[in-house]
Amino acid sequence: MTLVRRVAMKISGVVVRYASPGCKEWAEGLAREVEFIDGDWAALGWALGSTRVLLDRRGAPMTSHADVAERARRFSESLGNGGSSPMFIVAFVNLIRFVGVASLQQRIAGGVLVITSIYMGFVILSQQRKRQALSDSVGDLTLYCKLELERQRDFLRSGIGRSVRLVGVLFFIGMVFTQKGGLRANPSVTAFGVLVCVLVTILIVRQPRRVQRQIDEVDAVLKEPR
Amino acid sequence: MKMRRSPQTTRVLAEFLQCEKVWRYGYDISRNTGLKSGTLYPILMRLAEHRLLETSWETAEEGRPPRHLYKLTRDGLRYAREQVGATAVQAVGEPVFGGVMG
Repeated sequence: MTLVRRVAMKISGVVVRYASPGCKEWAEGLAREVEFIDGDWAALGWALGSTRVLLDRRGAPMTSHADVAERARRFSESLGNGGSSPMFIVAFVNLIRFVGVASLQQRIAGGVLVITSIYMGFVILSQQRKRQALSDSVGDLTLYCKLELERQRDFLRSGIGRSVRLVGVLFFIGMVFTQKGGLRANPSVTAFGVLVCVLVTILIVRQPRRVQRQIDEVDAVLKEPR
Repeated sequence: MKMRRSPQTTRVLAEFLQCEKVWRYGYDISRNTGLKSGTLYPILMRLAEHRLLETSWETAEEGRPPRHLYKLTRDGLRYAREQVGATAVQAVGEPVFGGVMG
Protein backbone atom coordinates (compact mmCIF):
# COMPACT_ATOMS: atom_id res chain seq x y z
CA MET A 1 0.00 0.00 0.00
CA THR A 2 1.38 3.40 -0.95
CA LEU A 3 1.96 6.23 1.51
CA VAL A 4 -0.79 8.35 -0.06
CA ARG A 5 -3.30 5.51 0.28
CA ARG A 6 -2.22 4.98 3.88
CA VAL A 7 -2.74 8.68 4.65
CA ALA A 8 -6.19 8.48 3.04
CA MET A 9 -7.11 5.45 5.20
CA LYS A 10 -5.77 7.21 8.29
CA ILE A 11 -7.89 10.32 7.59
CA SER A 12 -10.98 8.14 7.05
CA GLY A 13 -10.29 6.38 10.35
CA VAL A 14 -10.10 9.73 12.14
CA VAL A 15 -13.38 10.83 10.53
CA VAL A 16 -15.13 7.62 11.68
CA ARG A 17 -13.71 8.02 15.16
CA TYR A 18 -14.75 11.64 15.66
CA ALA A 19 -18.03 11.65 13.71
CA SER A 20 -21.08 12.48 15.81
CA PRO A 21 -23.30 9.51 16.78
CA GLY A 22 -25.86 10.47 14.14
CA CYS A 23 -23.23 10.51 11.39
CA LYS A 24 -21.21 7.46 12.40
CA GLU A 25 -22.84 5.18 9.84
CA TRP A 26 -22.23 7.71 7.06
CA ALA A 27 -18.62 8.20 8.10
CA GLU A 28 -18.11 4.43 8.02
CA GLY A 29 -19.74 4.26 4.60
CA LEU A 30 -17.38 6.94 3.33
CA ALA A 31 -14.37 5.21 4.88
CA ARG A 32 -15.18 1.84 3.27
CA GLU A 33 -15.27 3.41 -0.18
CA VAL A 34 -11.62 4.49 0.12
CA GLU A 35 -10.51 0.89 -0.39
CA PHE A 36 -12.44 0.63 -3.66
CA ILE A 37 -11.18 3.83 -5.29
CA ASP A 38 -8.68 3.12 -8.06
CA GLY A 39 -6.20 5.99 -7.83
CA ASP A 40 -4.30 6.79 -4.63
CA TRP A 41 -4.69 10.53 -5.06
CA ALA A 42 -8.39 10.12 -5.81
CA ALA A 43 -8.65 8.11 -2.58
CA LEU A 44 -6.91 10.91 -0.70
CA GLY A 45 -9.29 13.47 -2.22
CA TRP A 46 -12.24 11.31 -1.20
CA ALA A 47 -10.92 10.99 2.35
CA LEU A 48 -10.29 14.73 2.62
CA GLY A 49 -13.82 15.42 1.38
CA SER A 50 -15.21 13.05 3.98
CA THR A 51 -13.93 15.33 6.78
CA ARG A 52 -16.97 17.52 6.07
CA VAL A 53 -19.03 14.94 7.95
CA LEU A 54 -17.24 16.09 11.11
CA LEU A 55 -19.05 19.43 10.89
CA ASP A 56 -22.42 17.73 11.19
CA ARG A 57 -22.89 17.29 14.92
CA ARG A 58 -26.08 15.34 15.35
CA GLY A 59 -27.10 12.99 18.09
CA ALA A 60 -27.97 9.36 17.52
CA PRO A 61 -31.19 9.25 15.50
CA MET A 62 -34.41 8.65 17.43
CA THR A 63 -36.03 5.78 15.58
CA SER A 64 -38.28 4.24 18.25
CA HIS A 65 -40.49 5.25 21.17
CA ALA A 66 -37.77 3.99 23.52
CA ASP A 67 -35.18 6.34 21.93
CA VAL A 68 -37.53 9.33 22.29
CA ALA A 69 -38.34 8.38 25.90
CA GLU A 70 -34.62 8.14 26.65
CA ARG A 71 -34.09 11.61 25.23
CA ALA A 72 -37.00 12.94 27.31
CA ARG A 73 -35.49 11.37 30.42
CA ARG A 74 -32.25 13.23 29.75
CA PHE A 75 -34.22 16.49 29.33
CA SER A 76 -35.92 15.79 32.63
CA GLU A 77 -32.67 15.00 34.41
CA SER A 78 -31.06 18.22 33.20
CA LEU A 79 -33.79 20.26 34.92
CA GLY A 80 -31.83 20.75 38.10
CA ASN A 81 -28.55 21.68 36.38
CA GLY A 82 -28.07 25.44 36.47
CA GLY A 83 -26.34 26.44 33.24
CA SER A 84 -25.93 30.14 33.74
CA SER A 85 -23.44 30.22 36.61
CA PRO A 86 -20.39 29.34 34.43
CA MET A 87 -21.17 32.32 32.18
CA PHE A 88 -21.23 34.68 35.18
CA ILE A 89 -17.92 33.21 36.39
CA VAL A 90 -16.43 33.77 32.90
CA ALA A 91 -17.67 37.38 33.03
CA PHE A 92 -16.17 37.94 36.48
CA VAL A 93 -12.78 36.38 35.59
CA ASN A 94 -12.51 38.47 32.42
CA LEU A 95 -13.47 41.62 34.24
CA ILE A 96 -10.59 41.12 36.67
CA ARG A 97 -8.16 40.03 33.93
CA PHE A 98 -8.68 42.90 31.53
CA VAL A 99 -9.58 45.85 33.71
CA GLY A 100 -5.95 46.86 34.16
CA VAL A 101 -4.32 45.87 30.85
CA ALA A 102 -2.61 48.56 28.82
CA SER A 103 -3.56 47.31 25.34
CA LEU A 104 -6.73 48.93 24.02
CA GLN A 105 -7.48 45.91 21.80
CA GLN A 106 -7.38 43.55 24.78
CA ARG A 107 -9.50 45.88 26.88
CA ILE A 108 -12.19 46.13 24.21
CA ALA A 109 -12.12 42.34 23.61
CA GLY A 110 -12.27 41.74 27.38
CA GLY A 111 -15.25 44.09 27.59
CA VAL A 112 -16.96 42.16 24.78
CA LEU A 113 -16.34 38.90 26.68
CA VAL A 114 -17.76 40.33 29.92
CA ILE A 115 -20.89 41.81 28.31
CA THR A 116 -21.62 38.78 26.09
CA SER A 117 -21.16 36.27 28.92
CA ILE A 118 -23.42 38.27 31.28
CA TYR A 119 -26.07 38.48 28.53
CA MET A 120 -25.88 34.75 27.80
CA GLY A 121 -25.97 33.99 31.53
CA PHE A 122 -29.22 35.94 31.99
CA VAL A 123 -30.83 34.40 28.91
CA ILE A 124 -29.91 30.86 30.03
CA LEU A 125 -31.28 31.67 33.49
CA SER A 126 -34.57 32.90 32.03
CA GLN A 127 -34.89 29.87 29.75
CA GLN A 128 -34.33 27.19 32.37
CA ARG A 129 -37.05 24.59 32.19
CA LYS A 130 -39.52 24.29 34.99
CA ARG A 131 -41.86 21.66 33.59
CA GLN A 132 -41.28 17.97 34.08
CA ALA A 133 -42.81 14.98 32.36
CA LEU A 134 -46.15 13.99 33.87
CA SER A 135 -45.00 10.43 34.51
CA ASP A 136 -42.34 7.94 33.53
CA SER A 137 -44.57 6.23 30.97
CA VAL A 138 -43.21 6.09 27.43
CA GLY A 139 -46.27 7.97 26.10
CA ASP A 140 -45.84 10.90 28.51
CA LEU A 141 -42.09 11.03 27.97
CA THR A 142 -42.54 11.06 24.18
CA LEU A 143 -45.01 13.92 24.40
CA TYR A 144 -42.73 15.77 26.83
CA CYS A 145 -39.78 15.36 24.47
CA LYS A 146 -41.77 16.77 21.55
CA LEU A 147 -43.00 19.76 23.59
CA GLU A 148 -39.50 20.42 24.90
CA LEU A 149 -37.97 20.34 21.42
CA GLU A 150 -40.70 22.63 20.07
CA ARG A 151 -40.04 25.03 22.93
CA GLN A 152 -36.33 25.06 22.04
CA ARG A 153 -37.11 25.61 18.36
CA ASP A 154 -39.49 28.48 19.09
CA PHE A 155 -36.91 30.06 21.36
CA LEU A 156 -34.16 29.77 18.73
CA ARG A 157 -36.45 31.36 16.14
CA SER A 158 -37.45 34.22 18.47
CA GLY A 159 -35.68 37.58 18.61
CA ILE A 160 -33.88 36.68 21.84
CA GLY A 161 -32.84 33.31 20.39
CA ARG A 162 -31.35 35.02 17.34
CA SER A 163 -29.61 37.62 19.51
CA VAL A 164 -28.07 34.86 21.66
CA ARG A 165 -26.61 33.22 18.58
CA LEU A 166 -25.10 36.53 17.47
CA VAL A 167 -23.78 37.20 20.97
CA GLY A 168 -22.32 33.68 21.05
CA VAL A 169 -20.34 34.42 17.90
CA LEU A 170 -19.19 37.78 19.35
CA PHE A 171 -18.06 35.94 22.49
CA PHE A 172 -15.70 33.73 20.47
CA ILE A 173 -14.44 36.68 18.43
CA GLY A 174 -13.73 38.43 21.73
CA MET A 175 -11.72 35.41 22.85
CA VAL A 176 -9.51 35.64 19.75
CA PHE A 177 -8.84 39.34 20.28
CA THR A 178 -7.91 39.03 23.97
CA GLN A 179 -4.52 37.56 23.07
CA LYS A 180 -1.56 39.08 24.80
CA GLY A 181 0.57 41.16 22.43
CA GLY A 182 -2.14 41.46 19.79
CA LEU A 183 -3.10 39.30 16.83
CA ARG A 184 0.20 39.71 14.95
CA ALA A 185 2.28 38.56 17.90
CA ASN A 186 0.90 35.00 17.69
CA PRO A 187 -0.14 34.25 14.10
CA SER A 188 -0.57 30.51 14.70
CA VAL A 189 -2.73 31.08 17.79
CA THR A 190 -4.74 33.66 15.82
CA ALA A 191 -5.24 31.24 12.92
CA PHE A 192 -6.37 28.53 15.34
CA GLY A 193 -8.71 30.99 17.08
CA VAL A 194 -10.23 32.07 13.76
CA LEU A 195 -10.73 28.43 12.77
CA VAL A 196 -12.47 27.72 16.09
CA CYS A 197 -14.62 30.84 15.57
CA VAL A 198 -15.68 29.66 12.11
CA LEU A 199 -16.52 26.15 13.35
CA VAL A 200 -18.44 27.46 16.35
CA THR A 201 -20.33 29.90 14.11
CA ILE A 202 -21.34 27.06 11.77
CA LEU A 203 -22.55 24.98 14.73
CA ILE A 204 -24.46 27.92 16.24
CA VAL A 205 -26.10 28.85 12.93
CA ARG A 206 -27.15 25.24 12.31
CA GLN A 207 -28.69 24.79 15.76
CA PRO A 208 -32.34 25.54 14.78
CA ARG A 209 -32.07 23.11 11.88
CA ARG A 210 -30.73 20.44 14.23
CA VAL A 211 -33.65 20.90 16.64
CA GLN A 212 -36.15 20.82 13.76
CA ARG A 213 -34.59 17.57 12.55
CA GLN A 214 -35.11 16.05 16.00
CA ILE A 215 -38.74 17.20 15.99
CA ASP A 216 -39.19 15.50 12.60
CA GLU A 217 -37.67 12.33 14.01
CA VAL A 218 -40.08 12.38 16.97
CA ASP A 219 -43.01 13.04 14.60
CA ALA A 220 -41.99 10.08 12.45
CA VAL A 221 -41.80 7.86 15.56
CA LEU A 222 -45.22 9.07 16.73
CA LYS A 223 -46.73 8.11 13.38
CA GLU A 224 -45.49 4.54 13.72
CA PRO A 225 -47.74 2.05 15.53
CA ARG A 226 -46.52 1.12 19.01
CA MET B 1 -39.21 20.31 6.67
CA LYS B 2 -38.48 21.37 3.11
CA MET B 3 -35.79 19.72 1.04
CA ARG B 4 -33.27 22.14 -0.36
CA ARG B 5 -33.32 22.09 -4.16
CA SER B 6 -29.94 22.50 -5.78
CA PRO B 7 -28.43 21.50 -9.13
CA GLN B 8 -26.21 19.01 -7.29
CA THR B 9 -29.19 17.35 -5.60
CA THR B 10 -30.94 17.12 -8.97
CA ARG B 11 -27.84 15.47 -10.44
CA VAL B 12 -27.82 12.89 -7.67
CA LEU B 13 -31.55 12.23 -8.09
CA ALA B 14 -31.14 11.90 -11.86
CA GLU B 15 -28.34 9.41 -11.28
CA PHE B 16 -30.57 7.30 -9.05
CA LEU B 17 -33.27 7.37 -11.73
CA GLN B 18 -30.87 5.72 -14.19
CA CYS B 19 -31.41 2.39 -12.39
CA GLU B 20 -34.30 2.90 -10.00
CA LYS B 21 -34.37 -0.45 -8.26
CA VAL B 22 -30.63 -1.03 -7.92
CA TRP B 23 -28.62 -0.42 -4.76
CA ARG B 24 -25.80 2.00 -5.51
CA TYR B 25 -22.33 2.61 -4.06
CA GLY B 26 -21.34 6.11 -2.94
CA TYR B 27 -18.19 6.13 -5.06
CA ASP B 28 -20.07 5.11 -8.20
CA ILE B 29 -22.59 7.93 -7.69
CA SER B 30 -19.71 10.33 -7.11
CA ARG B 31 -17.95 9.22 -10.30
CA ASN B 32 -21.07 9.40 -12.46
CA THR B 33 -22.23 12.76 -11.15
CA GLY B 34 -18.78 14.32 -10.83
CA LEU B 35 -19.52 15.34 -7.24
CA LYS B 36 -16.84 15.14 -4.56
CA SER B 37 -17.48 13.13 -1.40
CA GLY B 38 -17.79 16.34 0.64
CA THR B 39 -20.67 17.49 -1.59
CA LEU B 40 -22.31 14.15 -2.28
CA TYR B 41 -22.64 12.78 1.25
CA PRO B 42 -24.42 15.79 2.80
CA ILE B 43 -26.95 15.43 -0.06
CA LEU B 44 -27.38 11.70 0.60
CA MET B 45 -27.73 12.40 4.33
CA ARG B 46 -30.40 15.03 3.69
CA LEU B 47 -32.30 12.66 1.39
CA ALA B 48 -32.17 9.91 4.03
CA GLU B 49 -33.28 12.38 6.69
CA HIS B 50 -36.40 13.10 4.64
CA ARG B 51 -36.95 9.37 4.17
CA LEU B 52 -36.37 9.70 0.45
CA LEU B 53 -33.32 7.45 0.52
CA GLU B 54 -32.78 4.11 2.19
CA THR B 55 -29.40 2.77 3.18
CA SER B 56 -28.09 -0.70 3.68
CA TRP B 57 -24.84 -2.53 4.23
CA GLU B 58 -23.59 -4.94 1.62
CA THR B 59 -23.29 -8.55 2.70
CA ALA B 60 -19.63 -9.04 3.45
CA GLU B 61 -17.67 -11.20 1.06
CA GLU B 62 -14.49 -12.90 2.11
CA GLY B 63 -11.54 -10.52 2.18
CA ARG B 64 -13.67 -7.51 1.26
CA PRO B 65 -15.14 -5.06 3.74
CA PRO B 66 -18.91 -4.49 3.38
CA ARG B 67 -19.88 -1.28 1.60
CA HIS B 68 -22.67 1.15 2.30
CA LEU B 69 -25.45 1.04 -0.29
CA TYR B 70 -28.10 3.56 -1.28
CA LYS B 71 -31.44 3.38 -3.05
CA LEU B 72 -34.36 5.80 -3.35
CA THR B 73 -37.52 4.92 -1.45
CA ARG B 74 -40.91 5.00 -3.15
CA ASP B 75 -41.39 8.60 -1.96
CA GLY B 76 -37.85 9.33 -3.09
CA LEU B 77 -38.53 8.02 -6.59
CA ARG B 78 -41.65 10.17 -6.84
CA TYR B 79 -39.74 13.21 -5.61
CA ALA B 80 -36.83 12.50 -7.97
CA ARG B 81 -39.12 12.26 -11.01
CA GLU B 82 -40.77 15.56 -10.04
CA GLN B 83 -37.48 17.36 -9.47
CA VAL B 84 -35.66 16.01 -12.51
CA GLY B 85 -38.73 16.63 -14.66
CA ALA B 86 -39.11 20.19 -13.39
CA THR B 87 -35.44 20.90 -14.08
CA ALA B 88 -35.73 19.49 -17.61
CA VAL B 89 -38.78 21.67 -18.33
CA GLN B 90 -36.99 24.70 -16.91
CA ALA B 91 -33.92 23.99 -19.07
CA VAL B 92 -36.05 23.72 -22.22
CA GLY B 93 -37.78 27.02 -21.40
CA GLU B 94 -34.55 28.92 -20.86
CA PRO B 95 -33.28 30.94 -23.82
CA VAL B 96 -29.93 29.89 -25.25
CA PHE B 97 -27.20 32.62 -25.20
CA GLY B 98 -29.49 34.86 -23.18
CA GLY B 99 -31.77 35.47 -26.18
CA VAL B 100 -35.31 36.79 -25.85
CA MET B 101 -38.07 34.21 -26.04
CA GLY B 102 -40.64 34.92 -28.68
